[in-house]
Amino acid sequence: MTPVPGKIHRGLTLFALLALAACASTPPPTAEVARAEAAVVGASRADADQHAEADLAAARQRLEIAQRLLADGDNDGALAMARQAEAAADLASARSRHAIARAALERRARENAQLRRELEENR
Amino acid sequence: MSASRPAVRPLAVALAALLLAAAAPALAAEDAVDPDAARLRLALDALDDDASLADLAGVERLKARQALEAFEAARPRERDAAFYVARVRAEAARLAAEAALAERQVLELERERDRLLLAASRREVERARREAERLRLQSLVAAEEAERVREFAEAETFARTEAEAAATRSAAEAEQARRVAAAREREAALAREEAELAAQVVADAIGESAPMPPIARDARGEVITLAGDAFSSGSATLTAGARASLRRVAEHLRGTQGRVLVEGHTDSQGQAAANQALSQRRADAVRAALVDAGVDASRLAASGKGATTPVADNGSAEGRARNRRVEIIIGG
Repeated sequence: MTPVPGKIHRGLTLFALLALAACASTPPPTAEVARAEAAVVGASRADADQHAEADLAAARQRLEIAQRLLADGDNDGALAMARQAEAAADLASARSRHAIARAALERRARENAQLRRELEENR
Repeated sequence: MSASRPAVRPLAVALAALLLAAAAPALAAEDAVDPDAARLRLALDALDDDASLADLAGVERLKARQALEAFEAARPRERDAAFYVARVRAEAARLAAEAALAERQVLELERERDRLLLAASRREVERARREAERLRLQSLVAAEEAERVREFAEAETFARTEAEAAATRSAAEAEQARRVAAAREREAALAREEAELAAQVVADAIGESAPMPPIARDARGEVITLAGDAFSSGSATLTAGARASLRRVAEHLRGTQGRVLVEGHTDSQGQAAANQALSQRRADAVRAALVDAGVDASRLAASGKGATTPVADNGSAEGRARNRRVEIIIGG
């Protein structure tokens, strides 16, 4: 046996073991769950309860599942659920912000039209 | 050591094969065009192509692109969860961009509103300025009129002085000239007062100015007549308006000399004695008001004439109203 094939041997073994380890276990996604929590808090602060009720409910439901899975040690499931919860909460925030901005736009447009009419009348 | 090698080699080969087998489906999925992924990519591209939403919601767009890439790279059992995230993120990006656009438009409308309010207030200021200018011109005209009358009176005074110096004219003529001049001066003073009043209006003073009662001239001298409505019915108490008018009369009296007689008159209704008493009380009240307003009491006398000296027909209501009066007579 030459020394060269021996080196290849050990390298391959090490690589295979590392790859297996990476596949087998996901670390607890505490950061992702925390981000989802923050996103839900942000959405309710943006009045999503009022303007995006369904989206916010979906986000809360997924966040609860993620927290439970995290507690049960199902890291893969908790990670997937936390990402869904965060996305749903961001959607709730965006929808709420959209509804509020549209309402303000309509109100302002009405007020300006009224003001312009008054100016025309007093000319 | 060398004895164990033949056993390790097959194990390593098997592991490598296993790894490749596990990775193969993922590689295959990436190559195939997934309809869900294509649809989401189309939606995100459309959002990017929308010029009106350019530069808006950059963070949300980035997150949506990343979620789409994660979905496309997802292993089969993760696909549903990844698709949910990608779909939701794409919708959130569109909504966030439209919300940002609406917020920008709200700011533009607020600026427009400020411009409209500014225009309205400018117009208001311009209107007030024109009104003030109009009133100023009015008072200027009144002041010029007063000046004209005063110059005329001065000319009269000059003529009077000349007449006296000449000593050829009669004393009566000189007296007449003096009276005319005095009347002109008073006229000038009145015109000046009117001008001042107009100026007060310009200065936005809203205070009530009582009118001067009418002045006439007859054989007794200058006669100022206070109408019957200066008192409440049957009483000798002056109304507030009459008191204010008497203050104007007092100002006028302070500019004159000689005795002043205050005469009370009633209409012919009721007992003569009662009428006489009421007219006396009313004359006394007017005299007291004039003294209050600064006229020298020693110049003032008051008498009640009752219904003895009518100036109009007592047969009509109008005539009776004219007969109820107080006359202030300024003797020469």
